[in-house]
Amino acid sequence: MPAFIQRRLTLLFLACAGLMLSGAAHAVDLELGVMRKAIFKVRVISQESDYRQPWNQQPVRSSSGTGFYIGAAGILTNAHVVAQGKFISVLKDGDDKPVSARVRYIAHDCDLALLEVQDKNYFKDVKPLSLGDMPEVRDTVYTVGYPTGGEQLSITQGVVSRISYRRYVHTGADSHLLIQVDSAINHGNSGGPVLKGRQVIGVAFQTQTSAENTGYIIPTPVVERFLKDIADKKYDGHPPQGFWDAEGVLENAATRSFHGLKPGEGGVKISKIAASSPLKGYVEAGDVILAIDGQAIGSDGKVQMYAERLDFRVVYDLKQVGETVQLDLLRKGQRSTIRVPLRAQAPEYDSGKSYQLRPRFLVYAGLVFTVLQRDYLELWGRNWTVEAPLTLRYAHVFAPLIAAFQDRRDVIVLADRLPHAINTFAGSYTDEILLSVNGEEVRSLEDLASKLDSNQEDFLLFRFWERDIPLVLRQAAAKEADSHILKRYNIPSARWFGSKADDGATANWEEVKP
Amino acid sequence: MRTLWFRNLILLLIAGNLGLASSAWAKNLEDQVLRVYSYVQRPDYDSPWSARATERLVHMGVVVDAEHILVAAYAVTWAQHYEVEKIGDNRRYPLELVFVDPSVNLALLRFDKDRPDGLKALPIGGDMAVGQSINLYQGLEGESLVSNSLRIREVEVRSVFLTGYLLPQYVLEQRRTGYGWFEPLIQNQKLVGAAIAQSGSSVYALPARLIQRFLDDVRKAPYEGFVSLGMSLVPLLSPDLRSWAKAEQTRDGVWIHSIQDTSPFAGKVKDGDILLEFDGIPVSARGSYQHPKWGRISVMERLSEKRPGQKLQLKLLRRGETLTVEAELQRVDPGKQRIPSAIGEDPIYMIFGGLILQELSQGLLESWGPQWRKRAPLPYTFHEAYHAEATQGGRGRYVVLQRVLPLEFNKGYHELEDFFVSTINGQPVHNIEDAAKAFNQEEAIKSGFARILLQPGDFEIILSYAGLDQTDVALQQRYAVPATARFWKRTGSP
Repeated sequence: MPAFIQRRLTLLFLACAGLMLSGAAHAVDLELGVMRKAIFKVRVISQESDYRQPWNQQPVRSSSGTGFYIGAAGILTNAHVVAQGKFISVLKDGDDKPVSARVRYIAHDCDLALLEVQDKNYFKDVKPLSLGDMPEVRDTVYTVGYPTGGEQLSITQGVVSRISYRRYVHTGADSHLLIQVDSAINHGNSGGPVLKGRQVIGVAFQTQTSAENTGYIIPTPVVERFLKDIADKKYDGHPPQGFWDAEGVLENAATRSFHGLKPGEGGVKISKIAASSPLKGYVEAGDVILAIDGQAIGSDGKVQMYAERLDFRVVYDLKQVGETVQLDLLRKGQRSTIRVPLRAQAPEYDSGKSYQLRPRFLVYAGLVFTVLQRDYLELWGRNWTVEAPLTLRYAHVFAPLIAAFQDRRDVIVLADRLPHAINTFAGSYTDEILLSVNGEEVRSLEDLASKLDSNQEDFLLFRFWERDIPLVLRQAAAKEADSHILKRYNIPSARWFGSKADDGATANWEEVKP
Repeated sequence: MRTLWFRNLILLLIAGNLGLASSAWAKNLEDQVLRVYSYVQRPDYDSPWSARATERLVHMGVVVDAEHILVAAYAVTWAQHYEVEKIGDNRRYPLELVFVDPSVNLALLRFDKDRPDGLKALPIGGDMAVGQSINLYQGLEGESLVSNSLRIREVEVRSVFLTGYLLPQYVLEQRRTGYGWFEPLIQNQKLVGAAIAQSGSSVYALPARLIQRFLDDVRKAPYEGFVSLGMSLVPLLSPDLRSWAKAEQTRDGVWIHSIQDTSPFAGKVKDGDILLEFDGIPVSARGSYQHPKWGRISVMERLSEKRPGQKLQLKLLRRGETLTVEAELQRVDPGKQRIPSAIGEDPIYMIFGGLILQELSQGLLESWGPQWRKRAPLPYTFHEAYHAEATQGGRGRYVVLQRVLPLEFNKGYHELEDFFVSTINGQPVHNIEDAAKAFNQEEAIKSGFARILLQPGDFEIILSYAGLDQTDVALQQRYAVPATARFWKRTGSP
């Protein structure tokens, strides 16, 4: 089954830790001692944009999670705990005074964030927790945190039941190494340390709603990759993939013989490579990757790692952007070893939730254009995978495979129409994907803006994907109406293109003079 | 006061008389409207060589002459056996199918040997006007025909259940559910329509003229059937779009788009042409015209009066120039759609090494249940909605890998299901015959490997030709696939 299908399925069974409330946790008597002081309750006021009218914000929400001090870097917690945070405070165990905090780095793809606090001397008496190695299956571990909003530090005992490469639900689009434990992780536990002995083996972050007592934790290799990534004071993320493998097909005798595999040899067969993929130009569809960084890949697509058999993508995924990966290839009977720098080669559709300060948008003549992304599809509620319009769902799932969307930064969608006489008949184009203006392809919102600004023709002709009838406006009338519409509907700014660095982390503190 | 009392008495007497007359007539109606049972065996799309359990459908039938009974096409689709009984008489008589046209959702059945006594043909009436009342009769359970007096709210051109063909239909207000399964509409003891669909509080009925046309057509075989334009019309309301299209001189005319290759007007009409006149009738911006009895109605209503072989003239406006085009109309053939309607045809499939390849059909889609638009795989529903246009010759289909019957032979591919098959051995596949031919490719057979490319995602299956025969035997033994199932067999010279 190709990876993109599988990914969609997994999503249905997972839910954010923040939603999970049940589970029979048994408290245990782990002697935390001074370690208690390094574990904080994190309280957050957050606010999300309104994706239909992107200049507006939804009501504020308040939530809480856990974080722990790891030394000079600050307090480590989950990205989902502080995402779109407007005001963040942390509270030390046994303390009565919360201290204001802000996000130093946030990594939505691996659901991690680092916080710093206003009070410079706050960590004076705090001994940082140290990161340990990967645990083994059946190891006993302790999840520590402030579940379901309680004020008291709670400790839950569990056993490591599985180590695997799975979907992280925070963005919904990224998979990384994770550890499954048999203790419940509840709302508020998120971001808390999971301890084996005196060492942190991971960060509690999500759970499975379809099974009881299943918690997931982010293991230390992912945490350490994050810390290394930000060493240059900039978060680049996990290396992009953009390739699909035909999982398991090398178990077939005929297929093995066709590709010329030797007995005992395994590997993964690549079926498709997107233009954006680092592998583009290095690996071709139909190639078999026999080994990654010298590690032989089995016919199940797995490598031996951390005393387990894990998806070969773990090796790739734990690298930094710009590092190289070494691949042993088998192409038409020829074997070779190549080194591939892990860097995206073209813009690509991001199918993950963005958590930006506000979505990119452009209002012109009462037409509200924004970018298609998971956040937008969530306008159709929890069941958006079946409730959202068919074209949008299909575009979202298959964007890398749809010819019309290649080499584009944005898939642009008409989010709304602000009614005015000049756009009376534009309403039926809402939720359609914009392809071109006056015959010229539109590759990004910036591109759309410059096309609209420079247009001198009598008509503006918008063509939408899978829609035969164009939307036509009179250019001069549209231009004239533009500012009236903004005024009438009280729109503070007609354009917001954001920045590549926008990670939505705007929480900060003010210096208050007594 | 006295006069008022007297008038009421007279009214009561009249009403009483009417009541008597109508109940006597209702008794009479039992010789004209019968209860028909059909025993339907739908294909099992999951195992396309077999059929699902038999279902019994109960519906109404109308006696149209001494020998024939008119029913809905849906009631005979995949039916293996039919029986009929008079309401209030439990003797059943077998029937046989004479003819079915799924486009108009009508079918004609004939008595096999015996028939009930006293049958009378129900005469067919004329067109009803909007606002008129009719009686709808239903007698599914119990011993009598139940009558409902309903008013015709409007007449609209609407797609017909089964094939989606567009026909004018009466819209009747009825809040209770359970209608639209072929209940006769009667006025003045004549059949004026037949209910064929219900949605919310509306019941939709075929007007008598379409029933008459179907019957005339069947009687004077060969059956001519209905015609199709092979294009879509959308309202041209935006004045800006109108001036861009250089059609400012008029406020009428409807936008033409999605002209299919199979359209009689293919090559003559272009996407974005504006239809000004249809067969000499001016067309509004919403694609309608004023019908003398039915009011504003889509001009497609006129198409239901056209016959194959007749010429149709369209007056068009193209970039400011008017032009007239003419074409000879052809019969609409629901069997030639890219994703064919579920009109009683068996699934078209083939088994290769345990892979079940099947042509995508409405029947296969509906195997995901009534909510198939949400439940069926996204690539299927997307292509059904946006890329289901018919092709020239009518055999352009989507071949899909429906699922795999797991064996050692196809190990590694056991989990695959619901993909489009784009090529086999490098050859494009547009139907099952293409697939069979592509597997038969000499070069591929010599190489020993069959290669099947799936979409979306270019997923490639590679299987061996050696061992296929043993695989087919294993499928019969383990999965009880009958030997008569369509296994791929090598044809031609070795």
